[in-house]
Amino acid sequence: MSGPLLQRFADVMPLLLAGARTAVLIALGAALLAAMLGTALALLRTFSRSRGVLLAIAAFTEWQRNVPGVAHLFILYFGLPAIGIKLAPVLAAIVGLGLVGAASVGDILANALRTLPAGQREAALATGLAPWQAIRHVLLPQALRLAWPGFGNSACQLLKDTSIASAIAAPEIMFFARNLVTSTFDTTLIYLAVLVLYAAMLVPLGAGFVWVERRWRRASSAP
Amino acid sequence: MSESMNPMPAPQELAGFFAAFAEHGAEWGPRLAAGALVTAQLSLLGFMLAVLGGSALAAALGSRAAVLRLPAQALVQAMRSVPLLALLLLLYFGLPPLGVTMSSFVTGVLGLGLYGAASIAVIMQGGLAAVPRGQREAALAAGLTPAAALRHVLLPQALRVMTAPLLNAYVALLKDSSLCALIASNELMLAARGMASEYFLPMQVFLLAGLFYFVIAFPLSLLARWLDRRLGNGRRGVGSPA
Amino acid sequence: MSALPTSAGPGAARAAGTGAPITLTAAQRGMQQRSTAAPPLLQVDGLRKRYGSAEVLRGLSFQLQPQETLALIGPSGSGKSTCLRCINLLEKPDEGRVVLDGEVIGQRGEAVPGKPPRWMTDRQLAPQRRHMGMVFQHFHLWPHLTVRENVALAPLRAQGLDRRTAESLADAMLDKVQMAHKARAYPECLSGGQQQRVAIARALAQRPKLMLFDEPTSALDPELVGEVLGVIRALAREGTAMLLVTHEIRFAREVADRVVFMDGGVIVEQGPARALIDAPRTPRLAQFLRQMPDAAPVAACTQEPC
Repeated sequence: MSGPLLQRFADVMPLLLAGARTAVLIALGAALLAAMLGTALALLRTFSRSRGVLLAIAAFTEWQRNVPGVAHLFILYFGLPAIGIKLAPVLAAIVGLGLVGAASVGDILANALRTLPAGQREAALATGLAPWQAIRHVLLPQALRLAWPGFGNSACQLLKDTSIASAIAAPEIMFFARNLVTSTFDTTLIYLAVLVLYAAMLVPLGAGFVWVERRWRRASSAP
Repeated sequence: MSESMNPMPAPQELAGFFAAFAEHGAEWGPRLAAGALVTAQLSLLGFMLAVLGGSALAAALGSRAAVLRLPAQALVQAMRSVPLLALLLLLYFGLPPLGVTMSSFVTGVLGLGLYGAASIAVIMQGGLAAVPRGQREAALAAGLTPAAALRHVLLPQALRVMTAPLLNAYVALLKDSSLCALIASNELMLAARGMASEYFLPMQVFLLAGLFYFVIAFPLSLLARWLDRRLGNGRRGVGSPA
Repeated sequence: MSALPTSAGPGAARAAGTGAPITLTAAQRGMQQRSTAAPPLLQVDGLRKRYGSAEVLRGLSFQLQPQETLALIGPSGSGKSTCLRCINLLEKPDEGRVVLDGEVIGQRGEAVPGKPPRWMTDRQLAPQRRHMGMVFQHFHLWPHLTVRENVALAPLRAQGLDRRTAESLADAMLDKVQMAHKARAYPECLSGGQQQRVAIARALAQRPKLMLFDEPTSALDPELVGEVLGVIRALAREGTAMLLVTHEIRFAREVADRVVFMDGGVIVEQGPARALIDAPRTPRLAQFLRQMPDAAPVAACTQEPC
């Protein structure tokens, strides 16, 4: 623990940045899974008449949203091998966080779809569009705009939750931070650097979502 | 990345899976319950701290004095831009070298409280903003001081709108308390972790632990949703349209 | 003591900076007394207010006598509501002065000509606002309190009455507006007209020197307007001092003592209610009255082509 502050900071950064790459990888993978599965869930919730389907989706959503992320990751990483499925830490993190994200995205999108005026769907069908076309070209785009702020929150939460993957030994930021601490003992600085690194990723992420939202608003109000 | 997939589990395996619960349930239950008690303490104390801190932050955020408002805004933004785990590790490992050492329980409560205060502050701002402006004007016009107006007219109405989000915030805090296992708090998740390696039955143990969380959090989530429907949207303040 | 014409005298010098209200000296009161038979209850001088680049009030001055009902009429955007809200300082004028019963409302320290006045905070204004009862266009009843609690809140918390006195005062006021039978109900169960009557009772419970009405019937369904106007009519008959901003021209003609017609932030014409509305002297007022559906049909213009 010697040397000027900036120097020590610069020494730890490369390893932390390597961790950041993994974190971003996990976040992207999970976000992709969450987006696809979540959209499917939202569409089923909105348009399915089957009691069983709705119940299953509700059960899945509630399980994901009321049980902590750590538990989900432990179940996937430590539990699955007991029945023969072994997932590498990063993959387990992607699947685990992706499922949680899917529940969140599904919830937000389903609410957005529900908020749309019924006339939108009726007008689309009246022009001769097939139901799936109505969904794809009329309903989902509008629902997406309504859901966008919620998605922004979910995305930020997802990136923050990649830190939990350290508990299952994924080589992301916290993991490398811990290693650094045992080798350099510059504890306070390292954990402060970790906070700064996360903030440096999250603030632009949030701002990016807001920027897109503003562009949409400007586009729709332009003469 | 290695994966090995099994064919569908045979009926005997499934039966064996569930038999484990019957066999060890009596030992697992109490141990997990003891951990759940710590979880409850962590989350409740953390929530109380978050509400206190959040109220102070909300007051600062609404203040006209920039010397109060700007640091509060910075703090809220900071708490929303970092993971709770990073904050907990900083508090637990990063403070002792500076001379401040706290038990993992205290660190947990502090971390949860600090992190939660930002969310609570935003909820409170939203609650007050939801009260129509005319309500405050009518109170001031009747000769009430701003403080009296806040106490008798604005807060009662704001609380109605805030109750559901506050419940949700508590559920989030409850889930976040599981991270305290990673700073050696003897709460539910740590107990489960220990038991999982002891009995070599991680799937069952962790599922059971998840169930514990579910049983506590799910009713609260439902309550929050029900309250939101009744107080947030349906029964809008009828005194003022805007 | 300062010789500035707008100075309020020795009382102000002491009061300046403490937030205490400024009272007029005997000399200033005497001046007012010489100009009219009795000192006016409300004196508004030179109100100016701008929002951004738009000047909504451009030097408004008028008086209201004790026990007088003054109606303020004019087209939308003329500044009537803004003027009313400047009187109890829900809006702070850029220039000008409001004096109620000899007391300057809301200003801290002496007014310096050319600079905007320094206004009291809401907490400091509370005692003065107790003397003015305001009835809003959208009622703004407090939904979490019962009708009786709505009316009793200000007496209880702002005037410091004990609970029993406050509640009996509330009941008396509710009786006055014929809403006593709904004392235990919540506002959401009442019709618009009923809510507005409760709002009037709430303002009356302050025992104010002056009642301010901001378009009290504009937000009501037509069939409910009558019950509210009936209450206001009764109050006028009892000699309650009222400043009434309204679109109900026929009602203003019937109930008000004097009418002030505003347009574009200035007073265009003022005078006795019936005379003004039956025989407007300015073309602008005549045109306005022609456009109002319920103005008295005989709105003859006495000047050139209307």
